[in-house]
Amino acid sequence: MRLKLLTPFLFLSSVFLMSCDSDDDGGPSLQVPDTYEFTRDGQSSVFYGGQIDRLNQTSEIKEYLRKGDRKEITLDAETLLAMYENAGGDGDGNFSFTSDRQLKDKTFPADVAFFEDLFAKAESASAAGLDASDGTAGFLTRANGSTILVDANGHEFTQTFEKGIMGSVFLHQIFNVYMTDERVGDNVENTAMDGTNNYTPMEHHWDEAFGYWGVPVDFPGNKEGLRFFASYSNSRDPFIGSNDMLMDAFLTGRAAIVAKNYAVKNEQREIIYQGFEMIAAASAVHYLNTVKELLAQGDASLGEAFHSLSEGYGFLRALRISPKKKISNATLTEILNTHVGENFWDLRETDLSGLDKAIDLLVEAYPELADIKDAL
Amino acid sequence: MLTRRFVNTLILIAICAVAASCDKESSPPPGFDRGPMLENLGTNIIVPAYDTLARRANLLEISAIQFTESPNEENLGKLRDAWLSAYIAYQHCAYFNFGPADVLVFNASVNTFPVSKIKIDDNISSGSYDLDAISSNSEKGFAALDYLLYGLDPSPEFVVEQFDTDDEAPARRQYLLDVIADLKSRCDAVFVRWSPAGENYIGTFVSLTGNDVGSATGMLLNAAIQYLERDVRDGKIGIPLGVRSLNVPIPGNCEALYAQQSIPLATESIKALQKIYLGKGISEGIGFDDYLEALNARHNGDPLNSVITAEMDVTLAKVTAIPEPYSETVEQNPDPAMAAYQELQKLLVLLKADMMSALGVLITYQDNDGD
Repeated sequence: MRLKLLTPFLFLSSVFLMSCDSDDDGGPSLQVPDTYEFTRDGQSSVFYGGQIDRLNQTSEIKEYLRKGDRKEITLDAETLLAMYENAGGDGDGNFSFTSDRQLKDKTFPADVAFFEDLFAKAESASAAGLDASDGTAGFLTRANGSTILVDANGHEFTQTFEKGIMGSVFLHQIFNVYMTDERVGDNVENTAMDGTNNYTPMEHHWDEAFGYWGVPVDFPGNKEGLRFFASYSNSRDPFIGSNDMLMDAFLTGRAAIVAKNYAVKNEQREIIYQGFEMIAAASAVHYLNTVKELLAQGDASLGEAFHSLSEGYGFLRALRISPKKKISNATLTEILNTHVGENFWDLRETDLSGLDKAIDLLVEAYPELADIKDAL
Repeated sequence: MLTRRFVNTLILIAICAVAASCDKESSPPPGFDRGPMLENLGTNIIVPAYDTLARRANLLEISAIQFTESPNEENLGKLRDAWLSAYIAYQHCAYFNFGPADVLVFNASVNTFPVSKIKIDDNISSGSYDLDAISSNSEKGFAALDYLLYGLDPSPEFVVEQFDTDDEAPARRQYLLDVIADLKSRCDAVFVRWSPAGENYIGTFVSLTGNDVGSATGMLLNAAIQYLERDVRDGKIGIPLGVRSLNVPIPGNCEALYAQQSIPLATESIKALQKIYLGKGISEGIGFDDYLEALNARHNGDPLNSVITAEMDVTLAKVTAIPEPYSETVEQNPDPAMAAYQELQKLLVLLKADMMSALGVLITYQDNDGD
């Protein structure tokens, strides 16, 4: 509820600021388009091909991991690493396309080892081919009969990888690279073109952040092909209004850059930080709720529960990435290590009050979630 | 707060100094001839540093052959000692990443860390690898040896077993020898390029007496300061501490992680910098201290040389005081590491801003950071 009040407030204050500015400098007026299409001299000034490449690389690595889940292949750590580093421009022959971009060098530096360890563990679990149990990596069966591969603590490799990349690459790049003063601050070049390209550096950096979101340019009218954060943005939208919140912020901010209206641009930046953080927090609550229901059904639902728990855990880890996060590192660590816990198998044995506590702590940090915490 | 103000002041002074130097007629200043300084730095510091490294790399190879022929704890101990001794010698060479080292991509090919455990393990299992490839830097060098000699399990019994009776022992022995052969040949190559008896780059070095971009002074100072900034301040101390990752520490990125020798190597690195600055080889010779004195360079009224010399001592003391293992310190007791990082930052500003403008030498390297 409070969030719904917040959005129009921010929007109104943007409008207010924008009217001040356009009076001041007589620059081009702020014209916010309906879709993420901006042109200069009749040509598009938007380009985020590098981001699309990385979304595609993530999809193909996930697909490779899923083959391991289905026991179709034995996973190979070096193959995973070659894809993560994009060796030879095509993940050493494992990608269906070539690119000079890679995921590894865009990863939050503290998490590179996390992914490399995950690849090594996935390989040995896949090669061993055991049934998973407490302390033993192996396969679990989901509700639909398909299998997933989990580590010795019950974390599903595929989900841990995917949610991990969403946090440690996509959010990290948006939060700690593209939305920073270094890339879109008021002093970044926004008059001269970036080399021979049809965009200024400031415009381009904004577009690159947008590219990591994974929406079509005419979102949310068009909801086809939503990828990664876009898909979760859409799932949480009925509760937190995330689709319009982010799309309006990206559109308005980009238009403000064209109009050199930096007060408005900077306001939209703040909305973008808040929007992504809220999607991650609300998604974490959503999965923790799901897990509570599943675990209450007993061991038959373990595969399904650990799958959802791996997603929730991934979103919680992703929250660490924000430099402006509302939740403290100490609380996040407490949730991850104590209330959810590193070993998912422990949750089965005990009562589920740890998950309730985790949700309570999230709601405390994000009061906007208070009224919707059970519905999420 | 105080620190930031201090740094701002320094930067301001640096800017003033640059502005002032623009008015002056060009170098050299009366009373200081760079020729003898370069002669001293080249003959008494740079060439001996590479010579020592080449000799220790040779001893390392001999120890490795002994160990692979008779894998036992005594030979492992000798091999580990030889590795550390060569690694220490390398710390004295790493500042000279220009000329031969630059051409040979020496630093990156012998000391890239962290290494890739996955790739090394796979190289051993498959027996298929090409250590000559540029892409193999994370599979070899001092850090790969750290992993091979300590990483599997630090206990000597276990390591000996890995090289003696384990299924993969023959392949592991071969990999060890191949990594060391690669390392040794690179140490030899860079020494030969510098040596007066070899390709005599030192002859070129001492002849470039200007202070422009391509001069010996310009190349040396740019290489040394860049190394201090990226590899010492950041690579050895700051990155494991989390200064580039929202203060989330990265223990796995420590130098000599498995041997737990990060701080001794970092300490050695500061000592190496002192020697270069003071021009101190076996005995005290002409260095940048003398150069700054000759220019009468000042810093807030004090001689700039005294300020730099004192800051080097403080930095050395703070770095030395960081508890080992560094990989645990960054997570459990970061304050001493942060204190050392801050001194490294102060030292960097003194050298990169104050000294460089006093000497009229341009910083030519840039922060690279593409998308």
